[in-house]
Amino acid sequence: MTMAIEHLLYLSAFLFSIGLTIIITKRNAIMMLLGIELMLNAANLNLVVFSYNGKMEGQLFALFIIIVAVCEAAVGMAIVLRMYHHYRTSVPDEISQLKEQR
Amino acid sequence: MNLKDIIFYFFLLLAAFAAVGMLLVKNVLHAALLLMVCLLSIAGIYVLLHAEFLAVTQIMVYAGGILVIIIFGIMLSSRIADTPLNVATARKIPGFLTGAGMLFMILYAIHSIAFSFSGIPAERVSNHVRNIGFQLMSIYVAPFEIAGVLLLISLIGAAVTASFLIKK
Repeated sequence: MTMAIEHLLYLSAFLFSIGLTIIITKRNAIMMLLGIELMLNAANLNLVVFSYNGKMEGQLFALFIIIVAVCEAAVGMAIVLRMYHHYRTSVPDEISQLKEQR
Repeated sequence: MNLKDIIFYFFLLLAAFAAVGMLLVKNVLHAALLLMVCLLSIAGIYVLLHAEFLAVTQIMVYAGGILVIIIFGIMLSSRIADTPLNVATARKIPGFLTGAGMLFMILYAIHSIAFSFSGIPAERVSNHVRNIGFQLMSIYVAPFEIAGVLLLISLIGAAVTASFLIKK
């Protein structure tokens, strides 16, 4: 069997690093959410790989991670839309005030 | 090298190249569609790892739910702000260095562990979907219910947060 475990772990590490790089380099809030989803999927892949042998704990943990990712995406997108409506910008670095200027 | 291995490495390379494309592409919508390609190929890998229930959940929740939310968000925000969908990049060198450092750290950790197994068994070990159903309703029933409450709370919170858009 050539379907090696190590290759899946390499893929997971690669996806996690790409997600981290996306979060750091891209200047857009939605792009940062996409990077977070990529990192969550890399962690899920590791959990599923280590639960292949009839043990269900990893798969169930991955299931709960998916549920929490749904909550995070919904609330994060609501916050991003509100932010766009208020500041008219897509760049999180430019938002430096907590209160409206009067 | 049988057919299953070919499919496995096809999905693996597809996920990796889609992730690289997400890093390189300028348009947010293209990045969201590439993320969908990556998530679907990870679902294919789940099927090959005998995690069928998780694969179906991945397709339904991620590709059907989260990506729709994100694409709605992209469309709505580009309409509000009248900005093009292109994304600027900044901090390229620190970002690349952080990503490469994280990658090499994880690879070093993988290489320093001696695994007691090397491959995925080709045959099914047990009936996984039935097993997951039993465990969700017996041992893990408290996290299951708490996850339901969390979903309800976050949906109410998202609706309240975004409903400020309507009233001026």
